[in-house]
Amino acid sequence: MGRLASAWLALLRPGEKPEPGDVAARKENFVDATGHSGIVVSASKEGVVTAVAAHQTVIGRDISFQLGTKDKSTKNVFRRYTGD
Amino acid sequence: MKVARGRADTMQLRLLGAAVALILSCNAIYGHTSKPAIQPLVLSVQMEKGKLIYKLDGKQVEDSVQNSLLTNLGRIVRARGTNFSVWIIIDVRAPFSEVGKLETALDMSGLTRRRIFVTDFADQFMNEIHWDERAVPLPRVVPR
Repeated sequence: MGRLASAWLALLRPGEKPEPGDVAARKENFVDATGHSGIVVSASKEGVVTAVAAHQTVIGRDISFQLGTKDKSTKNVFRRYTGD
Repeated sequence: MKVARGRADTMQLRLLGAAVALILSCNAIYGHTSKPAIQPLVLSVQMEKGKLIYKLDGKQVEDSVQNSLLTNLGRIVRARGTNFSVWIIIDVRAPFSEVGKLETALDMSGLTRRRIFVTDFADQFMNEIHWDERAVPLPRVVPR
């Protein structure tokens, strides 16, 4: 656990924005899932984040991971792999 | 005699053309109006005796792992695809975080067409909630 935590760094410090390769996730309390997650594949200059995520029937594009909690009452979290 | 037969042929062709035009126009009119509208899927969450009750088109879900909301949404998507609208109806007494939870469930199911309503389930009416695309900073008077 300590090794994993040291290899990952919370991204959203002031001024930082998601970039391709970051992990996007948000916590929910479904009876059979802990939340939703994906990998950021693009982030436009306007701040629109596109991720690839697993859905019920397909693995594909997902634009639900936006900064500023576009319309979510739960916050999206972005993490970046920084190496050991 | 040849002239008379030619006229008869021409008349038959005209009648045939008129009949085809009539059939096509009827098909355009009735075919269009009789096409059934795609019904929205209704996903509701209601507070009952202090518990949140989730329903998909009136059927209770999310009360067990086997009958989870995500499992049922997946089954519906496999049967109907994703080209239909989902109406989220939320009890005014439910925590606001339920909006995020239900929207996440739809995100995970690939259902992007949705409308959100709030109701007290008492007077059979509901109000739609509209979101702006961008977040705005909190006013200074709000404690942080």
